Amino acid sequence: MFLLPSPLKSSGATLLALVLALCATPATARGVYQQPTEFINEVFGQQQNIAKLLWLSQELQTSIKQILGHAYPTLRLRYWHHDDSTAWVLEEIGKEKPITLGVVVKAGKIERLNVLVFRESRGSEIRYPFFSKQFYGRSLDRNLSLDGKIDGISGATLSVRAAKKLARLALYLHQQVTTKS
Amino acid sequence: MSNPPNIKIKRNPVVCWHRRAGLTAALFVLILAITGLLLNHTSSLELDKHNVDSRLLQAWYGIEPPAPPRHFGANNHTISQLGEQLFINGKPLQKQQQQLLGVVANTMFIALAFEQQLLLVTPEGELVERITELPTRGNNISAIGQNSNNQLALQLGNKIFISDQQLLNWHELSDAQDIKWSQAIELDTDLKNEITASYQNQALNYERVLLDLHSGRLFGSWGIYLMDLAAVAMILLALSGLWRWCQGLKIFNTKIIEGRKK
Repeated sequence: MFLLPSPLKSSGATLLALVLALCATPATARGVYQQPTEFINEVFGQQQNIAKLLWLSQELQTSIKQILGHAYPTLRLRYWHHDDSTAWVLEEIGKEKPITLGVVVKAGKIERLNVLVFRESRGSEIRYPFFSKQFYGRSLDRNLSLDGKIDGISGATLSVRAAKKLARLALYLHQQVTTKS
Repeated sequence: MSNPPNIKIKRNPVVCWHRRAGLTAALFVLILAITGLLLNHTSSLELDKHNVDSRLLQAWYGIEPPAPPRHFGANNHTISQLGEQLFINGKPLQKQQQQLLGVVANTMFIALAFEQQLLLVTPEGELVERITELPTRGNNISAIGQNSNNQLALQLGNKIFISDQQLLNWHELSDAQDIKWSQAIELDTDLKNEITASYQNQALNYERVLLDLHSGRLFGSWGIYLMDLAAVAMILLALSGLWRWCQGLKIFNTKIIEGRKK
């Protein structure tokens, strides 16, 4: 057996731990954190006939472009509406792949924001409550911006940006459907 | 008439090799510089968005259409899937990893069924909606069809569900006799060839070819070694050129000193 003197042993172990720590690749955080159906059931229980459709007209897409920087990629959006609450399952690309967020808006303010599906290789920290809770109680100002500051996460800039955009979009769409109804 | 004197110029071997290496590396320098310049501006030139339609290059890369392609027809529209690429009436639609299981159409949209989702598109190829919330969980879609009222039906496991016109609500059916299930169809050769050509064109873009030319990968593993050799030649050229320049400087300084002495 190969034996090392104890001081060398401890320094060797430290070195090995250091090398392993440096070589270790961060565990990928991609995945489905919550199925959209589960998210809706969690928010509204088993309420029937609350699913609605919103067709994204040219007028709506113009404002959406102001929020997202581009038009929403589908012609219609499915949402859930009960009393003064609406729930939205929205997607926006972080860096390369879409991030799916579930957002609940009640009386014009964000009540809940959950990351449902995260497909990027980095930036999944936005799924943690320390980040998502910053959105609770936020509403839209006249410029279609959030009425308060959301602190970013270093290394997750693009995911944070996507989450902020989707929060603004959910608030804007809530305004549209609740004003109409 | 006197003959020119037979003068033998004794060249420095480093200079000789410097010139030879320079001549040999010139072609590689040109390739690397031109491809490097183009790749530096890949976004503005949209090299990744322009496809290579050269059959020769496609054959060189071994791009063949995957077999077997699947085609479905609905209301005079043809939806095809080759590999991951979807086509509507022969035009590229979008990519989808899951296998296309069937297609039905109504007056509002064309519905494409995959194992775990439905894609709703317009005949022009615009995405209406992507539905991932299926009527029941735990089972994948195995078939899509339509009843005589143009209502969309899905088979998930042993259960059959029928939807309203907007696909918002589903209810389970006990009797599926009225439903006509979507079946794969055979296409005419012209449309098949058009789809195959479109698939092959999409598989290769200019950015890929330029990257492979830059690295030498376009010519296989030997191409990489060749580019390595060219890189080594350029390093040697830089060093020998520097050495030669230093030598020239030394001679120039010696001549100045000698001139001052005289």
